[in-house]
Amino acid sequence: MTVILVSSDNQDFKVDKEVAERSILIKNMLEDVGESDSPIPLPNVTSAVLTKVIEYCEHHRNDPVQVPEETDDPRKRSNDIEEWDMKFMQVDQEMLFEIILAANYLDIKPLLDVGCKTVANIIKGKTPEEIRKAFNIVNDFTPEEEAQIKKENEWAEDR
Amino acid sequence: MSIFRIPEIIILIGPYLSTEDLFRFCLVNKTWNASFTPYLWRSLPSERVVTHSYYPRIQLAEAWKRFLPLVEADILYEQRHPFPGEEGDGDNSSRNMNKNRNNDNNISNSSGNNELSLPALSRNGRWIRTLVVYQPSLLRPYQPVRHQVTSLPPLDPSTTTTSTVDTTQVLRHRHHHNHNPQFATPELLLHLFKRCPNVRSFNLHGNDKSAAGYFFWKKIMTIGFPGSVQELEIKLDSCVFMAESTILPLMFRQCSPGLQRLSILMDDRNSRRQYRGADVDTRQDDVGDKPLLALKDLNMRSSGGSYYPSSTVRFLHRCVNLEALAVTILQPMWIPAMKACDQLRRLKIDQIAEEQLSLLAKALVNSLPSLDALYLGRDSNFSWSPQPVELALASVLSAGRAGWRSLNLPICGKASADALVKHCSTLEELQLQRMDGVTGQHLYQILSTSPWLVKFDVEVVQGTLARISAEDFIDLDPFTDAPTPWPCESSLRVFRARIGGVSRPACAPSPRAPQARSMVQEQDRQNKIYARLARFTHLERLELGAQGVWNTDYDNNNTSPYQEVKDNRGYHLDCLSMTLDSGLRILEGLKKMREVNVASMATKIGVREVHWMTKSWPRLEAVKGLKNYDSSMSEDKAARWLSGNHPHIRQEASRDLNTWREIGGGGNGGF
Repeated sequence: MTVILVSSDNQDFKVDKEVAERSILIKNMLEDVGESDSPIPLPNVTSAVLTKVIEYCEHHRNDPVQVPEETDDPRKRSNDIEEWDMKFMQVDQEMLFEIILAANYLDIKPLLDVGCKTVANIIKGKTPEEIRKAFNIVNDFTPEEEAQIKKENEWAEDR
Repeated sequence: MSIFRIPEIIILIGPYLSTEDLFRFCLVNKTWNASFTPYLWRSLPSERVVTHSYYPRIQLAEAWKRFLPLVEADILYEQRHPFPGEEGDGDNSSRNMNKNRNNDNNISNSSGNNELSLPALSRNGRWIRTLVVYQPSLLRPYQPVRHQVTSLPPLDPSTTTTSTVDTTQVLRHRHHHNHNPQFATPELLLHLFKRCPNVRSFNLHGNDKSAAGYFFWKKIMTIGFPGSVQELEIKLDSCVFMAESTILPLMFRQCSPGLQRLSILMDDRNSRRQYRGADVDTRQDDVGDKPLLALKDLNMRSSGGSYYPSSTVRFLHRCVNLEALAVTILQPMWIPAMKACDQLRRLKIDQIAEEQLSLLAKALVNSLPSLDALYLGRDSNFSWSPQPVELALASVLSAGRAGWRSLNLPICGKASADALVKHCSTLEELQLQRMDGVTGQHLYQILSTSPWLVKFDVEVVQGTLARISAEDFIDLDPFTDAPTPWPCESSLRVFRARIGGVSRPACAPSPRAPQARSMVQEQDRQNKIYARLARFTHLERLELGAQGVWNTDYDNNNTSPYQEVKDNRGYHLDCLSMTLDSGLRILEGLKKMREVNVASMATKIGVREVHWMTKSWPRLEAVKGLKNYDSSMSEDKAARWLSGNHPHIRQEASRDLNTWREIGGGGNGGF
């Protein structure tokens, strides 16, 4: 059985139901609607991004459903990205961010995780100034505030 | 469009960042600061110190030295601006309170939405989930300026009256001129408790050897821990034996009902008899009899191996939902109390002796219907002729009512092995350390008939029969000439054992080789062993050879009756070669492989093999034993190549021999 997804720029994508259901959003929609072949509009996702997302879901169509981890472990590893996923994520920053937003919107947890890991790997080791420059972020701290935060968090800094 | 303007997304990245990164990213801007501060403040001291340090105590003390000024600042702030409705310090007069309410208003007016005016601990304490405190580092917090009086500027000229300034100065004064600062230490911790209402996991290490130390513990234990704590770990260096400690009964009494995990590790090795603290009443009504419904995991161990205080029995009565229990020894008094623990599944006893095992067998007959995991440590005065212990162990194994799922035994003789193989249908994890009397037949039976087996870890001491023969391991079906399928093939993750009788003409010294076979036959045999290993599709850890090789006497003159083939350094020759020529390639499908150990095998692993391993096994984390074997330079080259090209892959020798001995490695890591 196939499902038709419509991107924000009105392109139709015909995908297997099994593939589309990697997205929890679509899965729930399909369950709510029941048997129906009316297309599913995805107004937040452009066709370029949807192509990528479908590519990911196609490749991972047979993955076991992720069991949400019960542990309260705050630290996760970001260096365990699978080879295929790593290649898949080698896109420009704009696209990477779009994929993450789409994964968030479509509720595809493993894709969101991979996206966040990739972003974490990009920003790792950068200084605040480098971060601001790279992502065009305005520093809205006064110098005093910055000094205060630095002092207050000093205990966690490596010596 | 940048995702870095969306706090919901930034927050998702937090868990993947290191403390250093979090520290820097908190300075980027306000959105980043708000998103990453909760992660940075999640653990105090930072997780790196807590988990990855070789000298935890020194590092802990260092980290606390850096943090204490924040606590101090917060206490001072509170003394100057007590929050309305909060319990005062006793020193605050009602006038003081009124003034401060004004002050609070002033603050909220002047600062508007900028909450940076509050001290860091008041703002961020709520993020702290993990708190690790090394008590002696709290004992010297007030390094500052002895004999120097700090006079503070008036608080607020408009509202300040002379009397309030006096009060503050007196408080400040008391604070900085505390020549006996120890009396302030419990207060420091109690203040932290107040500011960190969401602590889930709390570790407190320290000693009660000095008067100040004892005072600290007594005060903290009398007041109790925050109700939010779910995991509590106490490590106490004590100068009295556990049985005489007054800290423990106090702890039992104050145990909060939300606690899920309690771990008490006492180091009382250097204790002497002392009757201190007779003022603590440990009668029944003191301990209380409310059941602790949340408590699932209890770990009470002492390094001195001494007895427990008598109130332990009553405490055990309250642990009605206990699932895991780790103790140094069992006490006869507990056996009736254990009837309450009908959920108990895992039991760990550090020191076993014959009496301990008989007690356990008795307990199993009458209670503990769910117990299915048993971890037994080795007594320090372990006898080398363990016949009575062996028989007692066999009776314990036979008495198990739930079917053993996980077993870790320090010894295992013939009687125990016979009892053990009856539990193959439930067995998931098996770890045996000294197996006098276990035969290859037992091991074969366990491997070939246990459908749930995940871990098969048998430490082979040389000169025993406890190894699997190559024939048994290959286990060909006589009709099809293919390996007989074993039920554990897709479940097994850890395989650590010795496959014996694989002599290799290439390196086996001929006089002692078991049988002379042709090269072709040998090659065929090795291939079949690889084929069997390749069937364990989920294998993560592979260790072949006798790991006890360094601990035992391998005198060449002492001809072993079991025909072990070793070289003059004690390495095994009659084991798999693990080279590409011998068929290592057959293991290519084991994509989950994480750890390979070849420490005690006379292998000829070179750069080719290591290169192949890194290419074929994407999850590889450790190749152990490369560096040990120095009679051939090829391993050295391989080790150098590995550290040059894959520095993240560990190479150290296997540490497993030592880990089980550690006391207080945290929780029940042994399971």
